[in-house]
Amino acid sequence: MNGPAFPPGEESVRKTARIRTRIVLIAMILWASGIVIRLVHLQIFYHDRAKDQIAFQNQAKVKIFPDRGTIRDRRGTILAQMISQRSVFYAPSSKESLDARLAPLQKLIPLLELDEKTVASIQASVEQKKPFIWIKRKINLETAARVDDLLLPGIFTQEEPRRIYPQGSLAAHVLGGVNIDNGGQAGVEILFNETLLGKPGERIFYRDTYKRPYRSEQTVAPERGRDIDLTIDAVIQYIAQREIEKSVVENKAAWGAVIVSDPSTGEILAMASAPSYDPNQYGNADRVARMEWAYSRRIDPGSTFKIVTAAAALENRRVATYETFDCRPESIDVVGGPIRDHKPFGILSFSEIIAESSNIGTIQIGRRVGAELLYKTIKDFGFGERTGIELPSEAAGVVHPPDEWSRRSLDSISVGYEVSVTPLQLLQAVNIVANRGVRLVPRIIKSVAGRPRQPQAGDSPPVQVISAQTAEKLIDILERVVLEGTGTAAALKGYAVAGKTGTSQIYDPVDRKYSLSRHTASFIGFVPSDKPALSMVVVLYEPKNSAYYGGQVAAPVFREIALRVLRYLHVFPSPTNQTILASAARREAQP
Amino acid sequence: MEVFPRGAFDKTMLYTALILLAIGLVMVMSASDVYAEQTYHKKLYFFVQQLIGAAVVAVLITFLLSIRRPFYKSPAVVFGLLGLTFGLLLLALIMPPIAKTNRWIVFAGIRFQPSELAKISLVLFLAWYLDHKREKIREFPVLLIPTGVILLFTFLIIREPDFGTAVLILVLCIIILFLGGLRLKHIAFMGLVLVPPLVIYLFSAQYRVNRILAFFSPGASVENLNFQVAQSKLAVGAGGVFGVSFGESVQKMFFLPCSHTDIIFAIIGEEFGLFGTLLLITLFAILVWRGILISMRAPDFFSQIAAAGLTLFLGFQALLNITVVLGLAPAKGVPLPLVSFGRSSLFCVLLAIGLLLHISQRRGDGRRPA
Repeated sequence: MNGPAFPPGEESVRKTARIRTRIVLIAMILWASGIVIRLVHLQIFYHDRAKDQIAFQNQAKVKIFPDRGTIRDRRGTILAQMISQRSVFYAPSSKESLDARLAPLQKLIPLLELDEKTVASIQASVEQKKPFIWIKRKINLETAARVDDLLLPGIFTQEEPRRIYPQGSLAAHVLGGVNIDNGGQAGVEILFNETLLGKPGERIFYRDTYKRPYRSEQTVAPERGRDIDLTIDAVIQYIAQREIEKSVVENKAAWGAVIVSDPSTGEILAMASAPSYDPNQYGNADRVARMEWAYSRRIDPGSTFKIVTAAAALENRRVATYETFDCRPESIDVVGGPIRDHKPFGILSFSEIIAESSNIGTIQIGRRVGAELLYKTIKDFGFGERTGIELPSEAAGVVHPPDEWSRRSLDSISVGYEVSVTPLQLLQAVNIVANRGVRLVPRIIKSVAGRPRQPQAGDSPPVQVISAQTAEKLIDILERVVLEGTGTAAALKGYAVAGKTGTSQIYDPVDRKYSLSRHTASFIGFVPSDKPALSMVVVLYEPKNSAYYGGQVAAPVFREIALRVLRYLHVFPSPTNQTILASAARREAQP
Repeated sequence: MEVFPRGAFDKTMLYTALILLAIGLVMVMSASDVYAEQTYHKKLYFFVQQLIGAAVVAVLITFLLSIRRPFYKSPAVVFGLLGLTFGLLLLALIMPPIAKTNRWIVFAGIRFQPSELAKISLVLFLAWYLDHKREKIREFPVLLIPTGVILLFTFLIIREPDFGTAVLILVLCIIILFLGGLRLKHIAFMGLVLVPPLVIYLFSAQYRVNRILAFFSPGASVENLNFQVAQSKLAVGAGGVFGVSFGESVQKMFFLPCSHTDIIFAIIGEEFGLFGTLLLITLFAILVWRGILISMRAPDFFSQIAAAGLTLFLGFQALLNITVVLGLAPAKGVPLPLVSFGRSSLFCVLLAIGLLLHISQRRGDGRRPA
């Protein structure tokens, strides 16, 4: 071209600048390379740790409680179920001032009807900067919707189903109850907790740096618990429960228990203890009211136990039913002090001894049976060990083996002392007689998740404990108890009732002797005796009125319940029963 | 002789800048939506603000490209800009502080950060000065005027206080003087004069000392000093190779303060992984490469130095920003050019790119004399 394009000197400085630009460029490339190496390090080798760390500061895992299974009675009536409710919680921002953090609470106090104590404890939690605070748990969906509508910062509601018992206190002691987290606390609820519970799910809450949740995601779906059908019949349960509660009040008893069963299957139709409680408020229920007297309390059975002595004597042919015994003495000499009768008797037949509940007569029979055979029969009848019913904390009772007996023991045990039994064990014993000698385990679970209860390893199979003939003889005697003996208050017009009364003194552990003023009244029996539709045990502990005999206070409860339940079960009076009544009338007419 | 083919500016640079701008807009939207929702109840608040800013500057750039004369070389422009910047910096110190600092001036509702403009003014001033003194460039007294100007500006910016920007500007100016042919021993002398006051100043404020300490004791306390650095490292690390996908950043949930401004690179790293970060670095590399090419091909010494200075200003700022985000340098409030939210920065960066594009269309005849 034509000459130098640049002014003098410019080319040399431009050249220097170019060289020096390259030097700076190289420095920049080195710098950038460092950055790339750092990126590879962070994004490939540091990746897992960073991810964990972010999850740690960002995520909170919350357990989702599954819906517990429903509990129904034998006809499908719901006894326990879940209903949808929501719980309100507060996740305060750690960024705000204390006043700002307390502000959302003020709007909730009237809406949720929070009392002062609750408010104070929530405020204390806010001051302590707790990240998660329950405001109120298990409120109805409408109120929860109103809370959500307020759009208060940090206030959230969460699904939390509540266990409800729509029948209130009905079968409370069978069902038990749950705590606030829907965990079983007693009864079927605790024994079948895992079956009912299902599998908990999991929800991840994503929280910002101020611990405020902004999103949540269900990672594991909760699995609903399985349903349980009980052998209980809600109607029978209602009748039994009402009558025992009435009787406990009327007789000023400390407590009462009644169990109704179908003797042919061993299924429990009703089981009630009084006083009772509302399982909807299990946590607030009175401790005494929560006691499951019917199967976890041991009592001295007293005269009801004479069935066992009689069975042992008949089964082993130690007496004949027509045989007579001299019951004229006021008392019988027994080691450690004489034993009396409740009233003077004359010469009594074997049947009359049981029907009239003569201690003197029964002790003579017991001495004929002997320790070994009596003990064997007691064990055969299931005393001294748990029946195996599907309920928690069942008592086994106490029966000592003969080698531990004192010289008084045989006589005592013959008339139902020195042994302790549960009302449920008494029912099991009377069921053996009703069932013509066959022992069945009492059952309370009909089916689990729609499948009938499967036989389990620990189940004892039905056993013929006494012969059918012995059982028939015993039934004749037990009918006489109700017709003309101590149990006439249990008689039902048009039905043949078999039963046995019991009245025992309560052992006082302080005085170390049997109290003269405190008693346990009981009655066990079944009806109709020829083809039993129901069997029942009634126990009243410490009735404080002047009437305290089993025949006076427990037998009427049996009658009231049986009368209504038989009608409910469509068991109507039959001509056969009329005959028995006729023979009874004839006998009463005689002098 | 200058040739001036109309529309012959560097298209690669323009497209690269536009891509970066687009990425920036999208990432500002993603990183700021939660914060915007909480603060302004508008998810797109920052996105819209940035978009408006970009649109205004785009018009300005079109205007710059259409000017035929080399306006940037005229003393009126160079000294006018320098004077304006000086005035605005003084004004910022006088105006009531915003967020406890005097970095901004507010005029008619528009906030502006004059320290951003200072970068361009100083580059143009130094280019003009070096061009005029190129015969005497190796003489020591020549050094005195630029040293004074640089010191003055650095001092004003430090007073704001904005230590990061001041250091960046200082280093950038020294490099420009180096490119301009200054003797190395003079530069070393300048360094000796300028660095001690900075170091003294550095240790005069506790928060700066803490930041330095935090940098040199990693993991000491994630909750306190190192929080931001630790959180941005976590964000980048959590991204892995492909990222957690767009909009899914966890760290923007206030774990990372300034996630849409200075730390936006961390959110890019989290949402798009190594793929995204390397893409971004590649785009900046292209930008620098085109800038240097423009400088090399510039029609004259002034333009060459101005183009190199503007390019280095973009490149250094990007490198410094990313270095801080990756926890390789103490925390400094320097935005990522074209990407971070901030209209002052966006305005000045686009102005710089506009100037570079303008220089790119004023090539020399493409032949250097032997």
